Amino acid sequence: MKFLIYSSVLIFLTACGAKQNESSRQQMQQSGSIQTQPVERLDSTSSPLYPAKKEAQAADFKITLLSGEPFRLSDQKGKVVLMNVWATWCAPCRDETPDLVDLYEKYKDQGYVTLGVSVDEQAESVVRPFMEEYDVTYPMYIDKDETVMGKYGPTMGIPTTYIIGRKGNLRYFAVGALTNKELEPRIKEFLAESTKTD
Amino acid sequence: MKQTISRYYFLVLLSGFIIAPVLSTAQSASSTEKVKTKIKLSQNVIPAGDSAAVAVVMKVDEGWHVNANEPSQDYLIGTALNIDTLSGITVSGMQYPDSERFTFAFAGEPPDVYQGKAPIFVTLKTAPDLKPGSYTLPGTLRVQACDDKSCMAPSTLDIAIPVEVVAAEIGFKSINQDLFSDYTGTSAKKILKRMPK
Repeated sequence: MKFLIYSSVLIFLTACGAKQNESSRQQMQQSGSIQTQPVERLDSTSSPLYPAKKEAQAADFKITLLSGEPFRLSDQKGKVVLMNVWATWCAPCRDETPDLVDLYEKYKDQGYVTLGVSVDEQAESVVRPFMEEYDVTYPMYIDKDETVMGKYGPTMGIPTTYIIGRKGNLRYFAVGALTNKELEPRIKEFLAESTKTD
Repeated sequence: MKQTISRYYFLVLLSGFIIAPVLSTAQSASSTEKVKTKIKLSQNVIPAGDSAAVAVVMKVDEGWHVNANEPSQDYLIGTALNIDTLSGITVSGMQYPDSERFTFAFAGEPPDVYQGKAPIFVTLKTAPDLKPGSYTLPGTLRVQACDDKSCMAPSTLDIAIPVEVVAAEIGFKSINQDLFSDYTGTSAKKILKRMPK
């Protein structure tokens, strides 16, 4: 009898798990923390942003940047963080980079930070020349051991961008190139929030 | 005892339920999800000492593309076919399809790409003393797929070209000739000769 009960529970759980797995794929990962409908686009040439549920805390990680400085996501609480997963061989990534550089330069002193996460296998040999070519000034990390992607992957493609609010909650997620016309109003809105309202 | 086995069985299955989704999400999305390949030969068999053309036909999902063999920008990862040679079978005359210029939604520098159905041709030449039989030439196809806004991680697809070699005096039947009409490689003259005028 107990076996039958256990089995029924198992079948129910398996069904829920399968549904959740399918749902996660559709919602582009983050274990169900991303909503299926994108926010209304401000720029038709930009990829859409998907809002995260308010309660979704961004997974923490501790890394050493290409500059040699340590970076811990949880230490950025109080700031708006845009985490951009990219690679040098990705044309859309290259095309959105000037916008990301502009955004960082404009808002870095107002509590905004961009973190570039490169997935290039050739690592520094291709990332450093790219940073010089595009005048990338924001913090950069090469995710050789998947410290970041182990927590945020798998991606549906790159570039993939995560926007984390001042309180450390995941706010938006996007697969594909973004433009400042799409990003800047969101960043300004998040910067205007206090850490308590995140 | 029976109850213990039932509990054990339940725990094993439950572990599977918990672990399986974790393992499945550990896989990254790659270009193999957007590109499939088919192998087509220009004839049903190859008599020893004769040659035949082979097409490795890429089928790229609608809305997606892979970079041309010689990408227009040096930072892009070009499509590359590699076929291992076997003793008695040589590979020559590799010909990639004509590329197209792709314009991104955000108007970046347009790369040269392959879209839809795109065949890569090669010629297989068999040695006169090659023993009749079934052979398989292994190879790889390196691709990197993008749509107009994002890219998949580059990946290498394994391919296998099945070759049926028969004795020199045995005939063969020409097949898939429409596909090979664009081939100008070392086997092209032979194929064009067979094409109806």
